[in-house]
Amino acid sequence: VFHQGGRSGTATIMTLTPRFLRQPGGPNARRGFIATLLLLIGVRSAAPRPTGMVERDGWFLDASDR
Amino acid sequence: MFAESLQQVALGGRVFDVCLVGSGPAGITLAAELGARGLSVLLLEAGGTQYDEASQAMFEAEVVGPLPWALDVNRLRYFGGTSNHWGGFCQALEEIDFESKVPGVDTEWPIRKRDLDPYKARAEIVLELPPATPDQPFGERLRLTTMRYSPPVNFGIKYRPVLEKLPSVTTVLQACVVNMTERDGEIVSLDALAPDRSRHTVLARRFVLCAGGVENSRLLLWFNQQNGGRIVKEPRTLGRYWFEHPHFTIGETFLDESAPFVFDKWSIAWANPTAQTLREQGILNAGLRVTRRNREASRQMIADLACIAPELGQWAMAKLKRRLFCGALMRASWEQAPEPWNRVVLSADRDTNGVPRAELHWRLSDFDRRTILGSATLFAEEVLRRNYGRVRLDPWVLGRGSFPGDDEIKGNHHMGGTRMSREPARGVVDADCRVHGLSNLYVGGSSVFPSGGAANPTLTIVQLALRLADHLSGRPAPASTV
Repeated sequence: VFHQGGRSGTATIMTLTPRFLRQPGGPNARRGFIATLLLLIGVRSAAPRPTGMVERDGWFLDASDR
Repeated sequence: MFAESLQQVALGGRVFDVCLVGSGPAGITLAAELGARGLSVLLLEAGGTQYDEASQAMFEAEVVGPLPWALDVNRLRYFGGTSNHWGGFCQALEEIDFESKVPGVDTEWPIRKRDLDPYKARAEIVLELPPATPDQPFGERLRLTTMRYSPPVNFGIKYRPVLEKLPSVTTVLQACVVNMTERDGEIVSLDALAPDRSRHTVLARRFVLCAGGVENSRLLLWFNQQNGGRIVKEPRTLGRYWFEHPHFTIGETFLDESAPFVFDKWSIAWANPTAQTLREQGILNAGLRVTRRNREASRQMIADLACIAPELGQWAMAKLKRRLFCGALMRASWEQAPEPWNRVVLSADRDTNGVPRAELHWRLSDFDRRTILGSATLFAEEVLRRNYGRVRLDPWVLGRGSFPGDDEIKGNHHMGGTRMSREPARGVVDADCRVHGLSNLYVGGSSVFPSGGAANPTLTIVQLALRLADHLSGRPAPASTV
């Protein structure tokens, strides 16, 4: 859901997080949940996007790179 | 039987089922397979059982071109051949590697991947390879691949006890083959010298040259010259279409740690273009090698980037400090276009047995640069598209300057020269590795490759040897697994 982005994914995470952290299960469960969250965020940030690739001194950069 | 020289063997008119020349991966695999099936085999090795300066000097050859290492260094002339110092890197050729990829570039084999697939599992056992890992897509135009590592198997050490136990296999060391005799379209005998220079005649029903990616061409050129062109009757391609896998450092990159690259035991992650991409881009196959660098080298790379794009450099440096980025060297090994001007010819200089030395002419072309630029640009674009990091390519890759002369340059993969073809005009051996126009002379090893893909060649060499063993023993090829 989060990979798709948008409000529904964000809302789901915001709803689930406080409830989950209150649940019994100890620090390992919380760490696992946080790791999952980070993974999802990683997937989100790695989603493909269109490039305006330019080459500067051998570096292949995005046109917006400053 | 394992003999130190021909003087210890009572040949006395004995006719072997198969005589093999050369004890590298191809020759030893064939000897073990044929011997296990009860065929009488004579395996001739020009060297001894250990490295020897005098023997190795027989491999001295002139190289015309940018090869920085001598051919008496990257090949080994003793039992086990060059498997005595190989790295163990193994990859299978891909389906597209057997086909024509680019119009006007002759990469087509007369066989297909499905013809070698039935021998893959056995070759993996011979080479002691771990199970294969399926490729993973990296965008639509690239794949993340894996390299498989043989321990590496030293064929001389591993298979000497095997051959010694096979009663029908006779291995003779220090036997230098200097000529063969043809009559009515078949080879009737072969002449070999013992260490005391005594000349011995070997009789066999079939002969297989497995002397290596340069020596197979050299021997056939020499035999053909002595026999008035009756060995390779259509010699137009003999020694030609020789090729390497160019190996170069092509640039550097920094990557997000969450990127899906799997770094292996040598800290290398591998990527290749897809088959469809090769066709669309009009390039040959290429293996990109992303090799992790230490933090200091990574820091220096990002500092250089900051001179071009300060904000980006700052962002990357911050992520590097938090260990969210890693730096990597971009290296590549790729498919060289087979060309007739890359060739083995006979030198005017001769070795101590009177055999002309090999002279290797080899260079890279603009098309070879186009292949690596195309593949590397695709990688850079995919890394940028996913915001995994950025890629820098060296100026020569971008066409600003010639190929560097101080890099690795080649993989010591000697291929071609006696290429496989349907028609005699386009190659030296047919689809069964038999010399066109002769009934009983075969060639084993990477010299029969019409093209080499981007895969390290040893796995294919062993697959071809196992297939040739089936052919020579009259056993039908197993059903294709494809």
